[in-house]
Amino acid sequence: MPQTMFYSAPQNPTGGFQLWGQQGVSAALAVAGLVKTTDTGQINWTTVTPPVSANISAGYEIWRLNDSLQATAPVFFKFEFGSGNPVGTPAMWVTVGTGTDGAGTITGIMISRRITTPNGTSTSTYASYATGDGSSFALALWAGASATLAVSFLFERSRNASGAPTAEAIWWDSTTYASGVQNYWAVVPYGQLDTLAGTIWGTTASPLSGPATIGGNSPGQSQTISKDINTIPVMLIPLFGMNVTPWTSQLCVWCWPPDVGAGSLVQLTVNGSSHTYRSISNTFATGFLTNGGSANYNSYPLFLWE
Amino acid sequence: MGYQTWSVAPNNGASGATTIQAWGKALSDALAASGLVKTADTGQINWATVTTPSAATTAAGYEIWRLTDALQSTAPIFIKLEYGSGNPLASPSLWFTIGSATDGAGAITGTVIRARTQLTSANGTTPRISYLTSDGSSLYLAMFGDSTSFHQGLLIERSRDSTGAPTNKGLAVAYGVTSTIVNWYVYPLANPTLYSNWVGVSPTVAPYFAGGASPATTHSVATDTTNAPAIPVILYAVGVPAWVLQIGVIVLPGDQASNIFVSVNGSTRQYRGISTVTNCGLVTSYLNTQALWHLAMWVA
Repeated sequence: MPQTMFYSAPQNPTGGFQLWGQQGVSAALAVAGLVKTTDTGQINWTTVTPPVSANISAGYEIWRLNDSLQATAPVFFKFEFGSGNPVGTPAMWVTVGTGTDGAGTITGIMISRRITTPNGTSTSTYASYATGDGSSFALALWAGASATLAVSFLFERSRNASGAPTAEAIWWDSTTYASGVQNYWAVVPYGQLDTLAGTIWGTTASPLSGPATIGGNSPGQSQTISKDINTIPVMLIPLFGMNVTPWTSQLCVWCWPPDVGAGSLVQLTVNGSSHTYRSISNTFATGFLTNGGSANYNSYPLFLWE
Repeated sequence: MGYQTWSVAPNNGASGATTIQAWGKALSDALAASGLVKTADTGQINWATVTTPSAATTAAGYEIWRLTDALQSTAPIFIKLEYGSGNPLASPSLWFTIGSATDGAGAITGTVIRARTQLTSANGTTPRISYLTSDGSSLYLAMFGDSTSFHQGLLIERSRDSTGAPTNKGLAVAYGVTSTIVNWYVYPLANPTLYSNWVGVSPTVAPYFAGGASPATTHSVATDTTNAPAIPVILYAVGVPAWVLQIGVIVLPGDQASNIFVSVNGSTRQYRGISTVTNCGLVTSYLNTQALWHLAMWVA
């Protein structure tokens, strides 16, 4: 399973736009196993310039999954690269569907166009991470930055008990900043529209809730779940939706910061098989997993990393 | 499994009435029939003579119960249940206290894992169905569980290993009343002050929207007829490796059935839905805005 890590600054000056958009996201999607389509009109990274006004897309790329199910249950992604608000802020819009018209328009929309943008900019560079297995991908941008600068995208097909992808449904989660960290976590039956058939958690909720208190205190970077050195204290993520068979995410699991050191690789049994996961960052806290609405976001994802 | 169900009105009657005996003794009998053991502590409630308290929010008497598994000899769990009045006094009320020992006269001693906590809801004259189950290492009570207005829920389970065998690491305690209050705790038995808790939200969270609308009683999780549409509850605390709750699994009302077969902790187990129209108050969505999901009960 391919994976990559890259550094960029969350900012949009000329050159910086290409640094995070082309050399970062676009390249990472390819490494993560997605395939760029031949749709016409895709962004030309050699000539594109950052938008001169806020909330503008400068161009798009169309990507698709790369598994055997793509022949019968295709999934396409439209990534638009541009400006948030203010104009110097990076922004991406993602639309997920079952096809394209060959000219950059997603058809059979399953996840409606959603913006993801950090809260502000920085000239500092931060690590970003991407992974995928052809049926899923995860992208954590500026993961080492503060919670308000880090953003993420996760996509996974439904799976059976042995972890094999199925065509039944998709899981999408993206985080952005809009008056606070906002989460969009949806499980959608394949081929249907999220707003009509999807199961959606609240903007600050996820299917698995972190505790309000752990070790008798608010969760922090010093808390651990387990002091049993023989058991890695990692939580699996149950996914479920209306008319969707529940499954366990294989793309991502989560932990508390000190339990699995930043950058550490751990071996876990998920869906009946042993897999390698990587702790993304001990400062990554984007609302990806929440504790039901309060300010404790100190839970940390581990991405499938093999 | 010691699955029990019974029907009784959630009502204490007036001060001095014997009405409290109906729901109280029914619960006591169900606890005994489930296999849990009532201790020999002195001073326990006499169901033949006890009457409704003269004031609101007052206990009329208590019982001490204990788990019955092999771990009880090395990691004992005792549960004090007090029966009495809520507010108004016609409303049934329970208080529970959990600890590692008793003094033989009704006081929880040793390590107090969970301090005295009240459960109370409304009162009415229509009989309500209650449900209770235990495997000797756990207790799951949904009293008046077929009604959102009257429900009082209590769940206790030892931590488990990946095969479902109980361990001496921790104890989960969840409680809720009606559909609006839910609290989950996981106590490390070595030091219960290092607990994890979820307040107003369950560890596994129900969705906010389904199909563009609020989840409805007709909604179903899965169309797969061979795999039950159940969602696991994952629990953990400091020093307590994460485990999958075994005494209950989350289901939607649309998937409710008397027999739900689910693979939990490596074995297929039979669960039973509590109600097709209400929740048991132990499963919530964010901010509890949608509480139609609830916890099916392990029955076999």
